[in-house]
Amino acid sequence: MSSDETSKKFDPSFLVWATVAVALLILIVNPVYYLVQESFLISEEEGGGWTLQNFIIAFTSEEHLIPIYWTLIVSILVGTLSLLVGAILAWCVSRTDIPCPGMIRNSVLISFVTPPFLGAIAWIFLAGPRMGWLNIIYRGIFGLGPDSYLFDIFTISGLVFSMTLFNFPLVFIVVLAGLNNISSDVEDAANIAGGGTFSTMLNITLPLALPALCAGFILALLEAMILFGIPNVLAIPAGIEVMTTQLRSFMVAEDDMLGIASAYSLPMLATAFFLVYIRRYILGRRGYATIGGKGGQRRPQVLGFWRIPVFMLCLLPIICSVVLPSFMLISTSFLNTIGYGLQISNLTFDNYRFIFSNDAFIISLKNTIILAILASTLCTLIAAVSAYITQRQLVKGHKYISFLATAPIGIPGIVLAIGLFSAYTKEPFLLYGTLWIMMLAYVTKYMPLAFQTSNAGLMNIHFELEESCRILGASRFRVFKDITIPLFKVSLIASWILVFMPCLRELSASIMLWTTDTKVISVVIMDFYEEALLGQISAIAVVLLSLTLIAVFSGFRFVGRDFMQAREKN
Amino acid sequence: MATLDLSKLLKVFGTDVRAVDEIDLHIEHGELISLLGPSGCGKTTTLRLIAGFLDPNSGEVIVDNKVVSDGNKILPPEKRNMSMIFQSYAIWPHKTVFQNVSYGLKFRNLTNHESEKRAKKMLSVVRMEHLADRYPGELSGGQQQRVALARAIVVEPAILLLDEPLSNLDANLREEMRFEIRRLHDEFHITSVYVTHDQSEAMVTSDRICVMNDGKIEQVGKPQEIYDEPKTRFVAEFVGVTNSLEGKVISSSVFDTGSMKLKMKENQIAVPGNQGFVSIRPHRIGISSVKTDKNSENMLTGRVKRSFYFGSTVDYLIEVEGMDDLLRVIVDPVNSFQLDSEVTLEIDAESVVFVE
Repeated sequence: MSSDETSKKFDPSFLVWATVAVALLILIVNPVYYLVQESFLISEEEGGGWTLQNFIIAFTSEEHLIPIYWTLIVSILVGTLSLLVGAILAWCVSRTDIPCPGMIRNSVLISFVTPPFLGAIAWIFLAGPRMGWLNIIYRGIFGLGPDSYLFDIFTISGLVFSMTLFNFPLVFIVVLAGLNNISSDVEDAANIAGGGTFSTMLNITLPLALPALCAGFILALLEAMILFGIPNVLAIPAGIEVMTTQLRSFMVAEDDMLGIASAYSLPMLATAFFLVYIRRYILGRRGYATIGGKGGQRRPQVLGFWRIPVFMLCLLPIICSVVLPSFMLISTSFLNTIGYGLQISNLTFDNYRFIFSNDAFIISLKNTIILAILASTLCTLIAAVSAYITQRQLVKGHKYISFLATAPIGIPGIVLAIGLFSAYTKEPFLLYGTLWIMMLAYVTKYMPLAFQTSNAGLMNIHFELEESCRILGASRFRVFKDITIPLFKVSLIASWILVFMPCLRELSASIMLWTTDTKVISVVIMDFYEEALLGQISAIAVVLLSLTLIAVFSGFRFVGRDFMQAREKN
Repeated sequence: MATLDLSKLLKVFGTDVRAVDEIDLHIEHGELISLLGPSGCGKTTTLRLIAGFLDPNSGEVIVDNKVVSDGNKILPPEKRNMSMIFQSYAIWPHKTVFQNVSYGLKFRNLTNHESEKRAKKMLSVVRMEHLADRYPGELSGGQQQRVALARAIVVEPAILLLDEPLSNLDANLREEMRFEIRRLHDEFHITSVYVTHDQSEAMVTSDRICVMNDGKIEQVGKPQEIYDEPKTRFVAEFVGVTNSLEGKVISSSVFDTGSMKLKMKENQIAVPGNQGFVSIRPHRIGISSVKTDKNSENMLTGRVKRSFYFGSTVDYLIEVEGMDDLLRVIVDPVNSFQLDSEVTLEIDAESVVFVE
């Protein structure tokens, strides 16, 4: 046989797949392995060795159990409320004739642009007991003294309220996708069989939407459990600790409490994995044939007299989560003294002057941009190759690759950071204190997002498009260059931007891993918050939101209007 | 042009799914052969083995006496000088019609001028020259199929592979494209392998048909042979409609169904004493309302149980005494029979074919 022929024994593409597999193992399995190991270790100072002591300390004192209690309460409340708001909103947009459903849908998507912790800070400007505008107005109307207030955001209800505002969009997106896949035909079929409008909704629409409702609820519950930003801003001042803030306390404690932190984070990791598994099981069941089928036309429910009132009600969550917070942050950034209102004499550029002459902010801005660019590039590359291997079933173990690439959905950012900390603070991998460790955190955390975007993109490139090119005489490499890359380009750009945006404001992993030289914007915001530099935070927020909006609009420009939807497909 | 040979070709998926089970097949220069069978019979796997997209576990694919695939080595698809037409057309959406058609010529050592001339000529052969600058998204299904044909043929491949090329077209267009494929074959005489599950498609387009089932070849032959002289019950029932009657061979020309003896076509595989089936095509059965002597050779009496009107034909299901299944008879609608009326059936011995 001539030298052109390929022996079956050695396949060069094996090297590519092996590299990706190793990269994924390092990114995902390594930190989890070290986290689990650390939880059973006695600290070096005390001589090392194996122990269960960490678990005993972590789960026996009242001080450590109360945060678990609050996490449970808050997660369930936030999950339920998010489900209510998100599902009702999705139903109105998908199934009724309210005005401007597209506008409502896009506004909810836009709310992803505001980081939750900035949203919470904005709500301090609105409902803080002393300087919150709503309370100032309340005092003004009733002529009350400076100590009286109507709202206090620094309470459990304030915490639940602001977390719901930033979690309901998750439910909204999942339920909207579910509802959009149910065609009116199945409802018509029920009507013809004699079911009335209400009976049809109860017996047909609701059961068909049930998987999406459950999935949305689980997503909101999970997100509420692992969120660090909002509790750090609102719960700590209220004297409440949740699990994520407690983990942070362990890590900044004087003593070495890494083992205890690791032990403390394991139930959270297990719960997160369990929730992700349940969600997949619910969405993966094939019994719902109409979902994903050739959906017929959808007829909107006619609301009649209620059309406008319902529309107003739909605007409420958007006003609270997008309009008011953005307005508060932008206006506060130009204020001299918060609480004196928007008067000419109170306007200033001082906040911007302050941040741009602040070394910590300048360094953090540089770090954030470098990290976001590096992480989104690396993440997109690994995810794209993994997705390609999975979609084309190039190797026997392709299922494990897709499992690994999507596994970080079940790893809370703060837990991931503790794992990375354990893995990379000792020889031979001394990465702590460098930007690299944070880059590892970002790449791992956003791998599922990039993987799902690439996967969805590749699904639209039929493998026969590549085979038809090969059979005409093109080599594997040439096929990549002429066919695959040109067709895949848009998904790659989408994936890059979708990772870049959250990297700009990543908090929960960064807050555990930063050192003086590796601060990022979100960490500086938290520093400023502890020093009560609220005007300056608002100025940073405006800079951050501008950067994010640039990314969003590049996305719209290069990828098209629906690129944010890639999130919906996970 | 080339000859193609498959020798003991075996492809196993997983541990024990023998998708292609040691098949042998010889295809002549310029011949169009179709691989016909139900889904999952291994026909597409065979095609992909020929193309080099899959590697066989053992056996050989031989083009012009040169081994291109065996159990150890395979020549990559791009080195085989073959073309393939895919079920999904696989027209590249980011290239124009002209770019699609001329792409393969890049690998054929032609000057730009030559390849442009050839691509243009090819587009006019498939009557697409006026749409050369369109993108595939702007074309109908039939037009995309023509582009796929042009792109595959323009490179003048040694072997052309067609993988259910018409299954995504609507019924009218499918019929038109069948003749188009045969016309192009008559014009270019490229050795072709055509995979389909549609027997009429195979009949119209092919020189020979290879019927496959369960990874094995059931029968290879000219369309008429396959239809008139099926060797197995599977071929008889898969290609066209038929009545299969179970029974025993009495002699090389007599078959006993248990309730009656039928005279059948002389058949080498009909060994006296063997159990088997005879296949009788429904439109080869004569039917009349005239009562005749019950004992005449290959004459049966029955009762009309159901009828279906198709416009050009009528199907009758006839209950015959001693037979478990209803016998299907297809006739011209000028003859009509009442339900439950008694009829006489006459079957020409030449139409009673023994199958295994």
